[in-house]
Amino acid sequence: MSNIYLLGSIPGKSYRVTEINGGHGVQKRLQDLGIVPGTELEIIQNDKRHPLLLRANGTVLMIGKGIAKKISVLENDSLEQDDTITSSEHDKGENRCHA
Amino acid sequence: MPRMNNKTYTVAVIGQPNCGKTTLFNALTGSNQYVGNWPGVTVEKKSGKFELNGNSIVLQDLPGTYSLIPWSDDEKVSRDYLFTEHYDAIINILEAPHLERQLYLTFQLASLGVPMLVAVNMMDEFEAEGKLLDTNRLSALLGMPVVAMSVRLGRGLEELKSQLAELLEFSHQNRKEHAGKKAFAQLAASPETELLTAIEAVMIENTMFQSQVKTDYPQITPFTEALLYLLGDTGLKCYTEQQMPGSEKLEQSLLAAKLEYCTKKHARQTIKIDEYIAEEFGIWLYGVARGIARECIKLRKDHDYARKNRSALIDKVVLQPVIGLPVFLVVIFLLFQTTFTLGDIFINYLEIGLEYIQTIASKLQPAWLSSILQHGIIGGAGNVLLLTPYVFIMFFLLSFLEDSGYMARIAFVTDHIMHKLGLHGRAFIPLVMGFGCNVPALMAIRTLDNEKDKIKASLMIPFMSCSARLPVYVLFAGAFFKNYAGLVVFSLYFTGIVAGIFTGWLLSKTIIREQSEGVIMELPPYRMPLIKNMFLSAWTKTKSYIVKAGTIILGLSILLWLLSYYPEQGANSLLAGMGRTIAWLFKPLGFDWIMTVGLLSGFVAKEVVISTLGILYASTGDLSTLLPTVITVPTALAYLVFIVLYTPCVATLAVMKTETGKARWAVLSVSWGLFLAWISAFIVRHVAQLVMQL
Ligand SMILES: Nc1nc2c(ncn2[C@@H]2O[C@H](COP(=O)(O)OP(=O)(O)O)[C@@H](O)[C@H]2O)c(=O)[nH]1
Ligand SMILES: [Mg+2]
Repeated sequence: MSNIYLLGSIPGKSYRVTEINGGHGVQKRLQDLGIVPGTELEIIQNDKRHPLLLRANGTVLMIGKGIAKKISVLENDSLEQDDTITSSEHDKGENRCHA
Repeated sequence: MPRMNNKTYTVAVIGQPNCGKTTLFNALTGSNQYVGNWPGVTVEKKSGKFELNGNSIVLQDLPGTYSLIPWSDDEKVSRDYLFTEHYDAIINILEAPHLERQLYLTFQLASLGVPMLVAVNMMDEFEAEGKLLDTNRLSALLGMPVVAMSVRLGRGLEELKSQLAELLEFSHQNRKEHAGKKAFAQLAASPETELLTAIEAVMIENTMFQSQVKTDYPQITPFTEALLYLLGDTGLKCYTEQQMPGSEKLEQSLLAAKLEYCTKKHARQTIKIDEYIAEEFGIWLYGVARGIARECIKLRKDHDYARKNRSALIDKVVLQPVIGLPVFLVVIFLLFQTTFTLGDIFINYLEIGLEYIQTIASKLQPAWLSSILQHGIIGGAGNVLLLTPYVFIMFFLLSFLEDSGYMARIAFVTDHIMHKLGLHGRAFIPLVMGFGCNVPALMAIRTLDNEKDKIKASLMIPFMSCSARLPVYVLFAGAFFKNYAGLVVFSLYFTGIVAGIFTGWLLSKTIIREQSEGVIMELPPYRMPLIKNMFLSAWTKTKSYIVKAGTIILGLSILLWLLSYYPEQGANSLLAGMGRTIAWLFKPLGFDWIMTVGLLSGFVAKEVVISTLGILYASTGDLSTLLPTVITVPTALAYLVFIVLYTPCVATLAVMKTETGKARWAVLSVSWGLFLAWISAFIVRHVAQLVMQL
């Protein structure tokens, strides 16, 4: 699977963010709304005229076309495989707390 | 329960947008709240009071914000408040279903080291998803009290109050003790925690820098500075990059710490270091949040997880590319119709009441007092009161659109249309409401989320022909253009729209330039709004309209009435005198002094133009048969165009001033309106004359 821009994503499929190239402000805003490299995105709608509609961390976000051009994503191959990737990555990336 | 007595505490309520902040605020303070504006910006400021164990708590509602590094004007208000004002504690509301993402803000708040309480709201939705929350565990991990709530259902309110009382009592004894840094202290060591500590040390060490920041942001701690700096706060960067004694050393120490971090992370050499770190810190904080969520959230085994997502189903229709826009048009049509038809019913009753009072006043002696009361005071009060039904109903309905989650969707549906005007989709609502009445329309700019859109929309609204202008259009069009009356009225509306769009376009090209990076927005889940919230929203806004704009409108109306009744009504009044004096200004447009006085009196309200003309032309019969005998057709057209474009009335000016917080926008609006009206009327008259000579 190769990297594509979010702009070219297909509704119904899910992707993982690999890189955010937008200016500083855009990267900040995406981060505040929970989108960082590694975040999983499920595309809801992507048509010609409207902004992109997607689900991330359980919330629905709309992202303008100009910004969608600056986000690189990698498609999650299939659902089952996806699950295994998610959990292994979770364990790796997590910073566990100890009380 | 700790005993406290007769103290006043200020508590700031903050959370990400749509977390239930308003609902909690209303549940705690009831109708005991005050709405105003934050100084210098058009962002609504709301505070309220309630009693807690004999103490008085001032609750300060802060605009919803995703992080302490602001993106919009609203978010900047929240940050500035937290960094500069005095407050005793923070209540941070989280939405349980989106706990992970919302903890991102919680950690930033915790860095402030202020007594803090976390209210996890919407537990009902959360539990319906088959999840359980271990609040004790969450409280231990965050190092602060946590209350599970469902504010809507009243669940957790009492616990919140008792936890808050305890927190305040405790903080009163020892504020520093309760540093929320505990949340960070408990995190596993990582390159990020080490860098945070290193940067904090650098910031503390540089006293010059500290005092600079502290003068602007007295409440900020070096730890928050470090965290925000690493998360890429450009505001703080200005301070570190400032030229001052020791700034070189500061830069060097910061860079050294950052480079060490990059080495630990095996980062590539070519990267932009600050952006790299900001991103890594984002990933790290969300990782921390995910870890906490995993430890505190358990899934119920017996739950049916196949439940349908209701919000997604509604969005399938509402955001559908083809029918999304028609749905929106229906919504806005209903909003308009309900506001103005329902409003008119109430206004009729108010008018009957006012007339009754006026007849009483007319019988009073002496005559001058009776006249002042009747025309000045009661007339002026009428100008204020008669608009309140519109304001109330509109905000009641807007609150429904906002709280239900539909308002956010408007931006999606209209994005491609409004983009061309340099406005965001939501600005559509105030502009459309302008056709009913400009006053509520101008108040509706509160629902926009950035300053530029607000100013732009408020300068465009006066060109939308309100219903008060219609009688003048109809009278003139009927008198002069008989069979073409409909077409003329339509053209007048159209002229206004074109002028509005032109104004918006001009503003985008000049003083209010748009530097849009594109839209990134959350569409909250659909939720059923609470009637109580809608009612309180409408009520507080109506109240603030009466108190703030009302006094200005009353004053100006009384002044205008006095001018037109002193020393006697009609051709000898002061207003008529003024009209005669400035009539030369309108000569090129063909207006005589009577028409000029008509325009002056139109500042009270546009309907008044008709009665003024009637009185001054001493028309005994039908004004519409008289007018064509004293005014030519080109002049009549020019007059209509003038009325479309110049300032609607003093009420719009008053509201424009109170809503934008600055008189200068009202002044600009009047000047621009008069200028555009004069030029257009001049052109229209002369073109019409040419056409008629053909
Ligand atoms: N299901 C549920 N909905 C809630 C709860 N509290 C508030 N809401 C709803 O969530 C929506 C947003 O609430 P609001 O108080 O306006 O959020 P704010 O944007 O943070 O001020 C409204 O429609 C509320 O009725 C709750 O505990 N449970
Ligand atoms: Mg709200």
